[in-house]
Order: sequence, then C-alpha cells, then structure tokens
Amino acid sequence: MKKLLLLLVALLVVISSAYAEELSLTVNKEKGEIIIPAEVNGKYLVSPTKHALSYYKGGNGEKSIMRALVSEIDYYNALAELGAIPGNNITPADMKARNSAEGKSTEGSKVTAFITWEGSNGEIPLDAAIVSEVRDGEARPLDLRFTGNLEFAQRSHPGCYICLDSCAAGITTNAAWPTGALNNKEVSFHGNADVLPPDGTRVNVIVRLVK
Amino acid sequence: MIARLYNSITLGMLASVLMFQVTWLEMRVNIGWLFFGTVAVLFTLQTAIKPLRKICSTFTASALSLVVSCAGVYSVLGFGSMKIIPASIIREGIMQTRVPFSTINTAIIITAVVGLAVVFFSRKNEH
Repeated sequence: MKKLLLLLVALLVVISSAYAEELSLTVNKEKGEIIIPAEVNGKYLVSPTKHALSYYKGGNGEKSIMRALVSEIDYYNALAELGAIPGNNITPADMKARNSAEGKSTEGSKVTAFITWEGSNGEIPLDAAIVSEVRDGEARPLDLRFTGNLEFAQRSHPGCYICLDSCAAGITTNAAWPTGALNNKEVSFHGNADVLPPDGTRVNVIVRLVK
Repeated sequence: MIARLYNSITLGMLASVLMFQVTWLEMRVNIGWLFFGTVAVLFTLQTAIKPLRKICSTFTASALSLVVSCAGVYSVLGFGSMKIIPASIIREGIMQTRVPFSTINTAIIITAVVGLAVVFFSRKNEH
C-alpha cells in the first residue's frame, strides 16, 4: 500500500513538473502586438465564466476559458511598453453594482484580441471564440480596454488578463458590459466549442493596441 | 468500511456537480476541494450515526448510491457535459489541470466498477 502511495505521489510530481515550463510574451513594438502563450480549458466550453484568459498560477487561473502561461504582470508591462494608457477607473466598490445601469464601463486604450493554434484557419477573433448569452437584447461585440488594475494584480494575484465584463481585477476588460451586468444575470459567457480547439490545446493569444 | 467510502465518493460527486451549478460558488472556490471535503463529511456521518452505518454498509446501498449519482449527474449536466464537468472537478481537486478529461474519466469508470465489485465481494467481511 505504501509503495502504491509513493508511486502515486511520484506520478503527480512528474505531471506537475511538466507544468513548470515558463514561457515568455513576444512583444512586437512595430506591429503594436503582444503574443501570449496559453492553453484551452475545456471546462468553460460547456459552463459559464467571466474570464477569457488568466495566468494559470493566479487565483482565477483555472476559472478561465484559456490559461495564460506567463504572468499577468508581464502582460501589463508589455502593454505599457507599447504605449497603451491604463483606464484605472474601476474599483472593487464598482463591482458591487446591482445591474449594468448602476455599473461603470472600463476606460483605457482600446485593444483587439485574436487566437491562433496549430491548424487554425489564420487568426480567429476572440469575439468568435466567445458565446455571449444575453437575457434581453443582442450580443455586444467585445470592446477590450487596457483597464490597468496593476496594484490589485500585484496585491491579490488573480491572474486576470482578459475579463469579459468591466472589471476591477483584469489587466484588459470589456467596456461593452459595465460592472453589475453579471450580478444581474444580464449576460453570461462561455467558450465557443465550435470555434475553439479541444481542452489542453496550446494556443497563442494575440493582443493588438488600436492606434 | 469500503461500502461507506464508495457511497461517499459517488454521492460526493453528485453533491459537487450540484455545487458546480452555483456560478457564484464555482467562480470563487475550488469545487474539487469541496468534493473531497464532502466525501469526508459523508463518510464520517455514515460511520458515526449507528443506524445509518448499518444501512450504508450494504451492497444494495452502494449500488443504489451509484445509480442515484449517475442519474442525478446526467439529469443536471446531460451527456455532453457529463464527460467534462466531473473530470474537471477531480483534476482541479488534485491540482493536475493538464491531465486530459479522458484519463480522468477512465479512472472514474474504473473506480465505479471495480469499487462496486470490491463492495460485493467484501460484504461478508463487513458483518
């Protein structure tokens, strides 16, 4: 029995060590783009989440449609390096809004996001990879902004790269849905299983600064 | 003891899937840890409460717990998500999120079938 347990622990250690690889972001100043290595989390192709991309070691690393393999702090720095201006206008108090009418939308430099993977048909817009289920009305295109939230990210380590609503935790968040929209169940999001590759697939998320 | 542990695992999975449906909870807590916590609580209850201990230590109770759990998980998730959510709960609980769902599902099926067989063949030793 002891040998079996030791074997199991050894197996877990071996599997864990595979995750120890730390990659890096690719920043291209000329193109104004950042390439983020990530993986698909199949769980959120069938269940709702507000997180599109989070660092796997962060608090929300396993609560996201894709797990980024690089720290969200590096991502913040890369956006700043490209000349993006953070909005820094969403506070934790804003997240308590009861509905979107009471809520606030993120400000900051506009960015767009795309996904590629081996076998993808070119760059797939993040919009196409996300399903928005809107209670009343129509789906809104993503309006991603450099929200900032560096202090919160450093203090609380949520790992959030891209949130699908305006958020006080994410580095980039979605101005199309103000805070409070999710609290009021006005919208819910999940990954599009018809577009995204299966669970565990290595992808690259490309974020471009809109000039 | 094996029967009570088996019942705890099967019903613990059903309870975890129900907890998973509460988005607020799912976004804030590792449901995998709640699964293991629920298994511990259910096992303790079945062991500590004498009348429950007697009822739950039978093969019939274990077979029933498997049927109730499978039926419950299926009715909540449907067949498509049934292949993903229980496996995602387990892999998050053991903090091995790179293990493919198919591997976890194989382990779940083996545990369910072999576990029930072990309960069946060990039932004489329980009394």
